[in-house]
Amino acid sequence: MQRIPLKLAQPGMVLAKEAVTPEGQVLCGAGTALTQEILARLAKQEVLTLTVEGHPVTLPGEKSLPEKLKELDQRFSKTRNDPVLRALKTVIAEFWIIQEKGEDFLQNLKRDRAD
Amino acid sequence: MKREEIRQRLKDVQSLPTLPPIVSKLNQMVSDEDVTAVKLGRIIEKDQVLTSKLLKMVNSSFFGFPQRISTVSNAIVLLGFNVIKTLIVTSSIFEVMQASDIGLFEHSLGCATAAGLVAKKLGIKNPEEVSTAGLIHDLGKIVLRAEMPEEYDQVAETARQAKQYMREVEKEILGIGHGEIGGILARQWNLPERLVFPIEYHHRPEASPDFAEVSAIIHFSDILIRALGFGFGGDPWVPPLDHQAWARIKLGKSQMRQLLEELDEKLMELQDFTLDIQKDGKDSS
Amino acid sequence: MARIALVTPDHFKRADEKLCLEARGHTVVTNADVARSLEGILADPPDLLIIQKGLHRHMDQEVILALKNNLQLALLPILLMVSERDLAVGLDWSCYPVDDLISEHATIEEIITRIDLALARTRRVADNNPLTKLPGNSSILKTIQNMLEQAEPRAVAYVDIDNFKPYNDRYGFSRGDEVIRMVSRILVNVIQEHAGAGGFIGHIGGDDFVFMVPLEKAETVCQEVLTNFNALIPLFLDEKDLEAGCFVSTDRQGNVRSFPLTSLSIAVVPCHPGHYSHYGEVASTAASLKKKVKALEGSNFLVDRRKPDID
Repeated sequence: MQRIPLKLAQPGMVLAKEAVTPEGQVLCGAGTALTQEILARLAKQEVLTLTVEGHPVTLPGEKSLPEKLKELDQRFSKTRNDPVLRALKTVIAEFWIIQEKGEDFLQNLKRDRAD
Repeated sequence: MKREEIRQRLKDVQSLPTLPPIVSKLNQMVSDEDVTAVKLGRIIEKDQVLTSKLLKMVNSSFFGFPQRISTVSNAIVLLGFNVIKTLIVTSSIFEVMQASDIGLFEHSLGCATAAGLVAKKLGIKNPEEVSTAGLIHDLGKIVLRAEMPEEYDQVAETARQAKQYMREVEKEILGIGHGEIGGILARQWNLPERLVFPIEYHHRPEASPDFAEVSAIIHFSDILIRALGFGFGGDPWVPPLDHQAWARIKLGKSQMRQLLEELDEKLMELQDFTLDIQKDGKDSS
Repeated sequence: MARIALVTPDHFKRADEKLCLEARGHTVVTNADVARSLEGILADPPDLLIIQKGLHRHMDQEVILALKNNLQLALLPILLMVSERDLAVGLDWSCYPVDDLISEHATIEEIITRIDLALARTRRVADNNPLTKLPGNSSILKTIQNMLEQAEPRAVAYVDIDNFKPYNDRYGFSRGDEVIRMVSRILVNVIQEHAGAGGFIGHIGGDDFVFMVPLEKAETVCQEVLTNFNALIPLFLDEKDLEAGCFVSTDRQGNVRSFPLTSLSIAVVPCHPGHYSHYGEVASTAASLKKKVKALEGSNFLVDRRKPDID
């Protein structure tokens, strides 16, 4: 799934997560297929971002998951000995993996690593 | 030797460069009939230089609220629309734009956002103040770049080549770090201590004489935003974590996940904002 | 004697001219960078400003209006340096509410004379409240009396800070002054935003203010003033008192007791054309209304609802 700014959303995309107003009001459930009308309504309610299924948009400056993870690792290169920072790195990496590939993928990855 | 010289120079600092796209956007808004001080404030509170100017003005001896005002929304109520408008108009002369400016702008904005979210999670009473501290924590870097550009470039270049933390190089070459520089300026501008201390001590939060919790939050937010690779804080590495400061925050794994989720959404909105205003700037020029 | 700021990029470049001013005992504040000068002036206004007409992007007008209208520095003399042509033809004074003009060809002696006159004039006009720079009683009386003779319905509102004396006793006069300044800034900004030139604010003295707005704006203005006051007053109270929801101090009789946290009260007197003919009548209606609104807990406003005889 991918988080994108509302204005890059197109009819046909499917919501992977609820669409929520800045105040927290839920407008559309996960699984909703977006139409022109829905998008117009969301825009009127000032929704700014949506999380959609798949990876339909190439965002400016967006990097691939492997690239992101590699750079993440490099950024932590001066603090490898710190257990808290190591844990932080892991949480971030896991967050990105789940975002891109889903929770199951992460669990499989962990299981494979454990073997 | 160098340190004293810098302190002297700081006494003369009157103003700092602002980003043309931000000022441009504000100038557009100012000529709009419907605009209010509050709407202007929402843009101003994304920019560290304009925020600092506003706070400096409202905390000045002329306005008469010494060291009392620490958020843009409070400053706006006291300064009023027309004064803010004038501040914007006079700021537009100082436009300076470099690639690294956008990086630092994003880094500071990201830090403000993260700090606000962490403050809310910790149940702090006035998260907006913490957010403001996060926004202006790198004021010292802006000053360095504006007032001593050769020295700043030298520090940046050395850090890049030697693969060192910028802060270490600052200490070696200038004898003073950007935290201390920011602290001196913030004091000069009569900002409240709840802002001065996090600015001065964000790299060594436990040395903060007061508001140690806020300093700790800014310290951690700086680390988090760099870890996420959002914006550019001067060097590409995550700085060391002060564990005593971390003990004040101590977010668990699921809280961290939740934080990352909220942060991710807000950072995307910010990125969108930055792209938009840069585009508007190009369109109107 | 006085702090004089010069924003005249094309003039006063000669050091001897500045020295002449300094020899009179004045401090001269100037900066080659116009924008820096102007920012400095807003943050720390001088005693007198000499500014050149026609600065880039109308910044001369911006700053003059900011000083006169928004920072309420009506008493800060502003001398505008203009060309011979401007002197002959004149200017739109609403865009340039300045106190005097100086020709760009004026000699330093003439400039010094005009500066002295401007400063002397300032000393003559004494009505403004020194703390808030707002008009004082004689201006207030005149303005209200004038308004009563006009055809539009207006509202006259009396504002005061509840339990202000105990606040001063508990927190000291310095902080008390800050709260007064805070109220004045809120009033100026809210009224400016909603009523513009149709609004008027006066500082009667101490913690008492009065303002006038078109009648239809009165409620909106009061709501916003109270909202802003309630948002800011916690900054002027101690943590402990905020948590306790009250503070301990002495009342007028000298008894030590607890007082509710500081709040603001506004008594609004609608003035329909012909209803009141004298300022005193308005003040008297306000006095009884004030008692009622101050008796209410927290920050409140009340509007006098008695119907005018003419309907």
